[in-house]
Amino acid sequence: MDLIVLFICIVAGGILTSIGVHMMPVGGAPAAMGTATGIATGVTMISTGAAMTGLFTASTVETMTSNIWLVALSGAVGSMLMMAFTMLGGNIIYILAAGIVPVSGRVDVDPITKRPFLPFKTPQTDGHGTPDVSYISGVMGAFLGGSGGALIYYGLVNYADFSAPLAGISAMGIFLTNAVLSAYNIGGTIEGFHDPKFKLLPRALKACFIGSLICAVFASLISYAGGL
Amino acid sequence: MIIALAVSVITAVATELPPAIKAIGLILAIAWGADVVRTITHYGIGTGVPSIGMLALGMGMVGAFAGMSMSGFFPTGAGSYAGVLIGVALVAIGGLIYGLVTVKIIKMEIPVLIRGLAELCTAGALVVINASSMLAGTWHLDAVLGSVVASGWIAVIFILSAMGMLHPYNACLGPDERRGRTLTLSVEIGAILCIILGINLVFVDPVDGSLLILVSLIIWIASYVSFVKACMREAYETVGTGLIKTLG
Repeated sequence: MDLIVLFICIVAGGILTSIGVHMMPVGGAPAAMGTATGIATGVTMISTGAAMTGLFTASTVETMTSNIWLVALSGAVGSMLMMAFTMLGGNIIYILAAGIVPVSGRVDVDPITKRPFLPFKTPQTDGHGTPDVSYISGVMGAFLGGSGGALIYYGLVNYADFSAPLAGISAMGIFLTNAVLSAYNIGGTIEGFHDPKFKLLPRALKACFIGSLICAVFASLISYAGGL
Repeated sequence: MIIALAVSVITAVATELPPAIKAIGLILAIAWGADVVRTITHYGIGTGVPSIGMLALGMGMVGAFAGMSMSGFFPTGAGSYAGVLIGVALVAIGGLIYGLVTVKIIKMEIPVLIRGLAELCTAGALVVINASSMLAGTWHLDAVLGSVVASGWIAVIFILSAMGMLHPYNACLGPDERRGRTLTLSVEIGAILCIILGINLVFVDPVDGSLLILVSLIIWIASYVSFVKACMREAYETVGTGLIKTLG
């Protein structure tokens, strides 16, 4: 029974991670020059950062309670805080230091606030900064990614009897494999759920299902053979 | 590649070897990983070079723990030495499936990806096993859990060996990238990891620890000097900041 719950936790965590990664607004190297929308780093790096903050809060809450929803939610909150501050910091530098307006390059009007993007977009760039829709999408992505990471951690601690440090570092490893698979699917840059690349999501879900199954087999092997 | 695989497997299996010799296996495994990263990312993967190094260590580390847990099946006899090989084989199979998923489902158009990911995950697992056995003296999971995982050294091993695989090609990338120069940088980062492990080890076992620091310091100085010299020689023009001018 524990084994089945462990598999469900890891696979569900991997799939949540995959959806979360698809919602992060990342622009890669072009964003660092202000010529693409999103945070100026790779998908893997920013989602790993968010997941790590989520794991810190989740592991702290896990020592107090064994309620799975509370642990998953606390991981999500940690990730959301980290993503929100990162995007806010990036936007402050873009707007107040570089003097550019956050606009999206993929849509003409903001789908949520209905603000126009087209008049403010610098010609020959792919947008710049983190506009409202990408900001909301990023926070939602961090919510899903963080709760996915926390779910993996919870499964490893409670159903595979891992010690807290081992579970933490293994959850990091499993999160990374899923995040990289999703990053390959979107090809490095994405603006949020309004981006056309978001429609490629089913492909990544299938891949992450298999990817996290491999990791779940390893985890159950460690738990069973290692006598934990 | 074959040499790196053979040496690092031998140093991973034979736990009685002094850490200074295991360090050579560790550095070779990191250099092997860096070479595979170079082969794959040469085609351009769109997400930046670091992602693939993190993938290697993420998968490799979980697999390495699975390999180390084989000590539960084979507590004594030949199995207590060779059990880790089953783990390494499992990681290779996992990496192979991972590569197949990436090519068939995600549709990445890189011809060497399947073989490359299998090699990369194996290299990552070998690095973690070697580094753990340097610190703990064995790769048995119960010993590793105490002295490597619970003490937090696994995080240092994780990020520095990932850095050793992803950083060289990321830094040297460009039209004039040369394999020898890239791998020298990888050896240099591997030696840094060994020095840091040695500083931890010297408090537990002064003789082995100082020997490890000495050997890895020699490797580090040699690779650092040759890397800086190669950069100075192959660059069109270098403007010295004064920091490393005397070496060049």
